[in-house]
Amino acid sequence: MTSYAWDPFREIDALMAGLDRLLDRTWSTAGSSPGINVYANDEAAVVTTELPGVRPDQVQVQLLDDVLTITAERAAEATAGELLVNERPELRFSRSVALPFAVDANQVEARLKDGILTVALRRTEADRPRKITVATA
Amino acid sequence: MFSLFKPETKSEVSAAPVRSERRVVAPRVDILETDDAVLLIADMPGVSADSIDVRVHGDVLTLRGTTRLEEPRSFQVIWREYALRDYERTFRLGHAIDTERITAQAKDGVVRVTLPKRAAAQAKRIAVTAG
Repeated sequence: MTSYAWDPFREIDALMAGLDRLLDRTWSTAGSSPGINVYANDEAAVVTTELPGVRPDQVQVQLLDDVLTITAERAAEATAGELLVNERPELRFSRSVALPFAVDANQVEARLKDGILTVALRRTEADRPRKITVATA
Repeated sequence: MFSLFKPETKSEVSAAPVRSERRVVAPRVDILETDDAVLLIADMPGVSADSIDVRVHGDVLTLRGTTRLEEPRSFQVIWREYALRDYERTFRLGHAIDTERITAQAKDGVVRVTLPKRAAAQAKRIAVTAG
């Protein structure tokens, strides 16, 4: 049996989500140009971007010093028929992001899955914060 | 070799922090019509074949896609332009659609829903022969 204690934050969360839902239903459509998210900790950085319909051979990931550049292009749909609605944009994407620290160019991994590109980069050893042990006198 | 890509296991998924609700947005779509079907193409990055849900109720089709995306664990957000979200959009179908034969597939974050027309609704092509 699970008992539910009253959690005000859960209620606020639910309220916000409800509001989000209300607004989303009415106005919100997924953005027309791919967004980039950047995550980092002391050792590594992760850059993600949404590239629906893009195959791995249509993406280029380049690193120059601490600037990561992602270039992608979506092939035109090979479709027959009359186009009734056309909201999906032509996808020609090129973005550069400055990483928060120096990274090791030899340890970069990029993966494309279900239209999401994830690039993982490792911070150079020399650039990492070091913990100095304080000795007693 | 350093790797942030861990194999996806059940335990990892269930160990993830549970958000009470995720954002839901309407995917952008293209709709094409041919002689025998209507094709709905939706950009739904993060959605795989097993997380598409297509339902027809009366003449309303609801397309849902759930993403199993998570923020990388033990990382801080430095810059954010998009939120992790799910997708949902409804469409009104014309009489011509055979709702029993609707199929959907997902590839590279793009969902394609094929809505076949009823046989009676298909334009008949009459062969013209030279006389």
